[in-house]
Amino acid sequence: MKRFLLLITTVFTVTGLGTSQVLAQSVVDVNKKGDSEWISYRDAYKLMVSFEKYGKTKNLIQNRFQIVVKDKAINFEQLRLSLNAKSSVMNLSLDALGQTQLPLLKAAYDENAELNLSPKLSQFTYRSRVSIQLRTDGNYEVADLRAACEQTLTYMQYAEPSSVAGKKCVGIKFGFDKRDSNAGVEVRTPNQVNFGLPITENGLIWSDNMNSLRVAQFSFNGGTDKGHLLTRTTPIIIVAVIE
Amino acid sequence: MFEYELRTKMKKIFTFLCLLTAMPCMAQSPSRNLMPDGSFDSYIGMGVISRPNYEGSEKSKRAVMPALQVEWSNGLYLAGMTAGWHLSETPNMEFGPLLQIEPGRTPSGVGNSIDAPRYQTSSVMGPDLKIVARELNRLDGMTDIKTRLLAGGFYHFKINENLRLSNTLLYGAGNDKKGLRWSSDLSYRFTELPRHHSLALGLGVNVVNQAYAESYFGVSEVEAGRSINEEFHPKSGIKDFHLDINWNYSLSASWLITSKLRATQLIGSVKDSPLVEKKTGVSISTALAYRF
Repeated sequence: MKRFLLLITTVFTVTGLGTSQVLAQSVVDVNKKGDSEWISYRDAYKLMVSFEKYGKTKNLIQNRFQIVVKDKAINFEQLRLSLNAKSSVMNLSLDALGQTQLPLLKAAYDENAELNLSPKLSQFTYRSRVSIQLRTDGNYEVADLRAACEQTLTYMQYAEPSSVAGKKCVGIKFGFDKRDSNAGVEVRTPNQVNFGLPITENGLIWSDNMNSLRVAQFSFNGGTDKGHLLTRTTPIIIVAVIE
Repeated sequence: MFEYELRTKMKKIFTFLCLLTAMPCMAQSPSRNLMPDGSFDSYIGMGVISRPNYEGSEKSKRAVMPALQVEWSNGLYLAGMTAGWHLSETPNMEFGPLLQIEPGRTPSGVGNSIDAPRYQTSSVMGPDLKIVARELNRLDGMTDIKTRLLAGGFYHFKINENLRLSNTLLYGAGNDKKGLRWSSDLSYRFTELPRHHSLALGLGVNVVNQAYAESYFGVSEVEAGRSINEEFHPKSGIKDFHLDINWNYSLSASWLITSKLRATQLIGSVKDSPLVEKKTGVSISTALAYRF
């Protein structure tokens, strides 16, 4: 085994692809990029393009690239994500959940560009997240929300069938900024009965994401799709509840 | 003289192709088209491999190993000397036709020109490796198995985020070109790992038909007469169980170290072949690759 390891080291050195050269490059990278962490743009692209190529109805939903951390203390407003291509640097702003819309650029893919996240985090992952498109008027028809939930479920059945096997749409979750003291969702039914959805402080949008928000949940109680929901302020995110 | 040189040159080219065939899995299995139209994703690199001379051999050989993988946006891919075409549009399922070059076998073992890489590398390994035992070779007197182009298909199924079942069926191995091999592998990809590392653990089985078993593990009456082996005719069935460990470490978006270990346990009737000196074989390889 020792001989084999020696052979590995020697071959890398002899072929000019040696460890010393790789280390040299790493040092240069660190000096140049400072306190940042890299992500392969190609890998991120592969993750995100699946939604783009998905051919079924998706007009009510959207897909976002998300940095996922376990440390609740991380404030995404202090993180900077950028796409570093040869000719340009593009800043990608992260929302309070670490999400951004990743541009799908052939030029950046072809040159094998890097995404850079700074300051450097000790541990993080990234993933794609499907959520429901926000409306500028804050007025959501229940029928549209149910359709958006079904679109999400159908996409998940296509992309990650094992994660939604045997599950169905049961409702919608609105996530508001923790500092948004006016956050609220009002339900208006066809028979003029209006009521506000209860708000959960420090609620979680996803089980694998520790970033808490002010959360309001609306359930499809098997009843009518008539009526609509009004958000008092703009939520950060709306997601389908699939159980 | 010219013919000799030509043969030597062909032998070297052939060695290169055979080594490519033996390369380990790269950063990721080529997957369906998840790139811009007209783009490609490729790795090229160099590494080393240590593996048994042939399946069942107790001697192993070490060789410098080129590494190559290219996938195109139209679904075609090349991984070593395996070429395939992804036809599925479903994320959790991949299938398509597959072509693969199966290295031949001579008294030197599987692949070709074993001696040349070994002697080339031995100078950096210490003088002891230059001493190669040649007192007994069970392949002396055995009919050479020619290199073959196998044709078949693949079907991979992603069970969940971590588990994946891979199947390949290839036909055309052996001198009579009737050898059939079905490989089925269940792999588990670990997700809770430090950044830039990926690790997958796999368990698999190879099932072969009688023609395949006969080609690689059988000893005909004629071969028994001219070799030290007794006549032997294996049956079809499970050829081996194997354990795979694949570890990749990305140094940057462009540089990757890919390493693989495969432990194979020959079973079924092939394990009783007189050619089998050792039922368990281990191959280990590592390569540094550049992504472009």
